Amino acid sequence: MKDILSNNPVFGDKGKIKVPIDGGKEPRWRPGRDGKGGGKGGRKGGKDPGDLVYVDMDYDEFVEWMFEDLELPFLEKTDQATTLIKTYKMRGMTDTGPEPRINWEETEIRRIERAVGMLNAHPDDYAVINDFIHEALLKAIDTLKGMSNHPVSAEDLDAARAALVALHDSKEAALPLSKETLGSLNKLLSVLNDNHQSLQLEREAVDRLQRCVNELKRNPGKVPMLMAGNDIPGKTDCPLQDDDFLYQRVEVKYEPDSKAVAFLVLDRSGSMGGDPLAIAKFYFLLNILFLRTRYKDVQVVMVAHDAQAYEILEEKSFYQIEVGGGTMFGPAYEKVLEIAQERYPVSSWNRYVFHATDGYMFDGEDEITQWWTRLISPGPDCGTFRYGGYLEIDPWGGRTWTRRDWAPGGQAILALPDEIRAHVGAARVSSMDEVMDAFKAILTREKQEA
Amino acid sequence: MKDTTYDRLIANLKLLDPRITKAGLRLGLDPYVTDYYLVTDTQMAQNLVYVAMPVHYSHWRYGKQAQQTRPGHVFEVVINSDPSFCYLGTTNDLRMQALVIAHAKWGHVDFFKNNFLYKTTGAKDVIQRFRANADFIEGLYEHPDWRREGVELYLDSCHAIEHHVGWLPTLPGEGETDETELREQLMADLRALKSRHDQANIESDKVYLAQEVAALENRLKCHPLTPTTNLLGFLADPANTQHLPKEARQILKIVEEQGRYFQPQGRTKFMNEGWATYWEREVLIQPEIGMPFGMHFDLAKDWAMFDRSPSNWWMDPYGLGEQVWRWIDHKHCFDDGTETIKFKDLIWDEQNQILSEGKKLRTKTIAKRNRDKMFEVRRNYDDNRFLEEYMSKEFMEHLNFQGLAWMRGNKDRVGLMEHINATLIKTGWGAHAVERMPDTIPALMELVEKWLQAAQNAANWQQQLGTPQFPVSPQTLQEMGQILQLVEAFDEDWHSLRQQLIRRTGYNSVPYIELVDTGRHTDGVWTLRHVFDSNFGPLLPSECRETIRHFRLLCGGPVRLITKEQREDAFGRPMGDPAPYIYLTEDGDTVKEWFV
Repeated sequence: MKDILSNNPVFGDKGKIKVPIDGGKEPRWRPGRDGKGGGKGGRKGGKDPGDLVYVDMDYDEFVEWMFEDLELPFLEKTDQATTLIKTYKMRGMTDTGPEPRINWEETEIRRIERAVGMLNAHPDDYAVINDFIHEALLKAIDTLKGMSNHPVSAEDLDAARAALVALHDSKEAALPLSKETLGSLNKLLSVLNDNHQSLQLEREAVDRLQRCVNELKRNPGKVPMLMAGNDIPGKTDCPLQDDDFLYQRVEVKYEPDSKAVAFLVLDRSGSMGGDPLAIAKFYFLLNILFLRTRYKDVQVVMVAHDAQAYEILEEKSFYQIEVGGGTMFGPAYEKVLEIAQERYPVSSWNRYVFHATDGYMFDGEDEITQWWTRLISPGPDCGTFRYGGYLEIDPWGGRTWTRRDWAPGGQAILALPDEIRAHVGAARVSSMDEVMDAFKAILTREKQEA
Repeated sequence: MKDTTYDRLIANLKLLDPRITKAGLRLGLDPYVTDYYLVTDTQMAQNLVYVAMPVHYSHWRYGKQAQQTRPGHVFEVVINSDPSFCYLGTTNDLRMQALVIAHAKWGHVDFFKNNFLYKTTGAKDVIQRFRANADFIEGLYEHPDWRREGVELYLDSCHAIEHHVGWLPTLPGEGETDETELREQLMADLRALKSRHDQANIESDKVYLAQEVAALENRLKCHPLTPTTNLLGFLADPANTQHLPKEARQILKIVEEQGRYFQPQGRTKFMNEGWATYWEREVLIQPEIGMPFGMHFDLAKDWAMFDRSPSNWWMDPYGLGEQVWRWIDHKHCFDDGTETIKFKDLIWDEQNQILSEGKKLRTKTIAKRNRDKMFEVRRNYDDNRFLEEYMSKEFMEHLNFQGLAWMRGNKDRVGLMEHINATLIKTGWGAHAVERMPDTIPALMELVEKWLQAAQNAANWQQQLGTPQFPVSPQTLQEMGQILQLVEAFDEDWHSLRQQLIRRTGYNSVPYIELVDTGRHTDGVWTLRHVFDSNFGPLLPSECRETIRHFRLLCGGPVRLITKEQREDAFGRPMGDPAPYIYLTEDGDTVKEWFV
């Protein structure tokens, strides 16, 4: 699926990511010219920026989509000790299931569809006053007659009862109703409205009668019917059937029951403005999402540094540039180690550190090498970090004549001893397009330049 | 109680629609029977994507289109089928419904029924056919051997050449690839030619006949003896592509059918939209509809929808189409007697949103217009012929005058620029006003540019400093500038401007590519030839390569495409005329290309 992804994803609203899909994959024979650089030898033509379509996805979907073909053999080996536990995810709907998982909205929609179909097929079966309603209303009227104090006189009740029976039995012959009869019906309605609960009459029956009377007023000569396309048979006329029910579907997944903490170390000296910051943010996001596919619980610790290190609690304040002077990596690693030892004991946490920087620091390469060694090695005063990722961002946007080698930070990593180097991945990027490849390279340790 | 607005809407429509029908029939229009569907805005957007068909196979490119089309306020969606379906948006008010009905049914559907190109689209059973096609493809998506990837492999390739389905209308017997008769005939001709060559006495005769013999022999070596432009149809024939599984052949046939169904719509876009825009006004002003005055007033704004940007008259299908039809009406149609219409008014109750019929029977005598010429054009023309014939110098001058009248005014009306001038003086922008309106095009252009500059500056400063905006929006001024440019271009070289404007019409961007030879009797290389048209220039190379690879997949043998390409010097500037150029792919992965 990666071939459809062209540029970089863009962060959408909270929890969503907008992934651009290359819309230009519909070639055909047509007149035109390629952009410069295309032409005869190039495979890519001029990409019309209007062709790009952004699709909103949740992080979950993005992860599934992005990482489905991502094979990371190295990490699998270290994680074989993790146990897998069953987890349940609600995904979609099915026709069968237990009662607690009924999706009432969708069920009702199915019932409505069926009801409308039945109404269209047999409109005569769905009169406003059908048998059931008719029985209920007659019963209510009789109850009213038996009651001693009520505002409706006996004559009115009788007239209303007669009208109802006439309407129900002989339909058109009963029409049009006289003014007095309508008056009686209105009086009956007002009583029913007030007392329907005590009469044990359903609200729906009263509504139906009300509607019936309204229609009789408007169209005196016509039998009041449910109007097709306008009204939908309710639960009494068209009750729920077994086929209508839809249940939430549960997907059973086996997920590792272990915890990981990701330390995000961001170099926020002045040289990291704008683009590098976006690159760093995207890189961190990819790592967190990836860890989420491997670990049940992933905590994130954000450490920003220039010449000193600061633990930041909010993401907003994390991605901000301080126009500071120097950059030192040492304090950052020290802080990371300190936090790890304090709050995330090795016995229950898998520790990961990801560092995004432009690579220029004052510490000195040897010191940084020592720090990494200390972070990775097991031992009482060391980090025992599972893996470290080092991303070097070229602050000059990739013009190759400025830089050919790794910056000092990267050199420090390259100088690590082999057993430590095996647990640290490093890559260089100069623009957003390269972040995906760099992320993969760091984790799979392929294509890493020596 | 539940007295929903749809209830009233349907009742209103039931009152309004028969009146529109009466008017339309009296005017001589003749559409298919049309069903109306009330849909919400979102449903409308979804329908639009699936090319306004109720049934269509799903494909990722339609999802892409759905993402691109924001669910906004789409006005009308109508289909070429018999009976036809017209979708009415529920959020439209009654006058808009009337407009949509007039535009869609009495414009588009009438056009679909009566234009010659649509005769071959099989409108009577198109829904069933498309449903069958969609079911087939959806079934293949589920098939364990195929799944979506397998189907998309073929579908994407078919879509790449979906426009190359032959040129409608089809002649009887066309598309039959049984050439044995033709081959025998040609071989007999060859024998005759050879004997004439042997018997010829005169040297020049001998030479000439030798050339003829060679040409005929070359032709007999080709597999389709006559080159065909219906690439999809050719590939679908089992005699030509034995390697394709029969489901793939069916997919080819489906895309071919679809291409042939939609080709008329692509080739009559300007005519069709113009026709509908013309009739949406003509039908609704007829007296027997008895439309309330308020609605006429609102409708007038809608009828002038495309006149708000007058450059539409030159370039937009709706604008240009309507202008050409009105021109034909003006020149070739005439009033022929009178007729008396009896009708009752319609009364619109705004508060209750109910339409009702008045009691008094009115009589009105109107002129009867003979529009036979328009109906003849509707029947027999497509966009190319329509514009070639009617977009004459006189017509373009008429557009120029119309545009300039809008802008500058003439003895009958005050132009927009004078209004602007007066407003500038009144609102304190007098520094930009002029005393006398200029009379020449360059002077007008200068003035418009000056105003445009002021407007853009004012817009910028307004953001930063909060200063007042220029009374005219930059868009209007740009429209004016565009009209002036068009008039200038006309004055300079009207032929070239006319060619440019005509070339923008739809089907001209589909190049003429024919299959000359499948190489069956020679080297097995399929040869396609692009008949080069200097108006459109060479093919887009990047997409051309991709399309050739798609074709290679479908045809199963190496493919070469002969076209023309522009030589460039070291700086990228064109050198000379386009020269013959070949693209060749053997395995479908790499494409080689070179100048011949």
